[in-house]
Amino acid sequence: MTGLDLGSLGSIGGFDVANFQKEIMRVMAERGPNMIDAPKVGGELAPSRTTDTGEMRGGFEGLLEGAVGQVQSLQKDTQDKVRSMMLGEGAELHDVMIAANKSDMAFSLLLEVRNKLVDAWDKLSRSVM
Amino acid sequence: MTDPMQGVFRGFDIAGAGMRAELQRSEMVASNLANMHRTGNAQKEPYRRKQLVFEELLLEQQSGPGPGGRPGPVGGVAAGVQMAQVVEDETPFPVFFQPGHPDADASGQVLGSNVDLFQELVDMQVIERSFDANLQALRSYRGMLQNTITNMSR
Repeated sequence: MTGLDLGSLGSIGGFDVANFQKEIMRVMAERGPNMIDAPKVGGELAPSRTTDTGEMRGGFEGLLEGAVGQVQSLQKDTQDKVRSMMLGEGAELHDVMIAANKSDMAFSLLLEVRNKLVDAWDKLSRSVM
Repeated sequence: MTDPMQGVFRGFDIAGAGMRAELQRSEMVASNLANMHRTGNAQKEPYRRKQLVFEELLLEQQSGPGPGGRPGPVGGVAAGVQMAQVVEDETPFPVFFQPGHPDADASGQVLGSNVDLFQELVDMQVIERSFDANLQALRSYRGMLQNTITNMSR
């Protein structure tokens, strides 16, 4: 599993629950008694492990990081367009607003997906305890 | 594709293309109005009213040639609209009798441009409404996505 690919709705549909569950069990086994603290997503996520090729190795962290990265690229696109318009480089007003809308939508989608993942984590960690 | 959520947000881009098209039309109307008093005579043509013609943009055309350099299949998914060409209005120029005019010929006749002020103003209204329609389409599209996200997250 190579991170949550937001490239299309289809890939969200193809989210591999079994794999995700296995991954969570693995992380919980690694962390031992501290597993309840684990889902602090905003704060202390372990640094993501990447392979030599820089490819995301997957797992819970990778899942979120992949999604965050994609949303970030949309937000960067918005910033670029705003900048380009302000500098008179030819970006158009409606393009800027559309880009802003896109990144807004992507962010709220990410937020909800994150909530879902953290929910799943919570449920699993509680049931194992 | 550099856009990571291309498929999800296609509606935004289509509506955006529509808005761009309406803006181009309104620029053309503004240009017609700005030039409407450019007169002429038999030697020098007065301003000719111009109109934009648009064509449908399809996703395959946008994505360019497919694997092996062969063009992708034509048809299928809408991807917006683009300007096809600028067409000149062939309506004959009105003739005025103004002997003192710099453009007047020997018989005192001047050719005016074939821009019709009222036609342009009506066009401008139509453009404004069409732009609003695109905006509304965009708003609905965003609303549907937003509702999907918020309503299905519980």
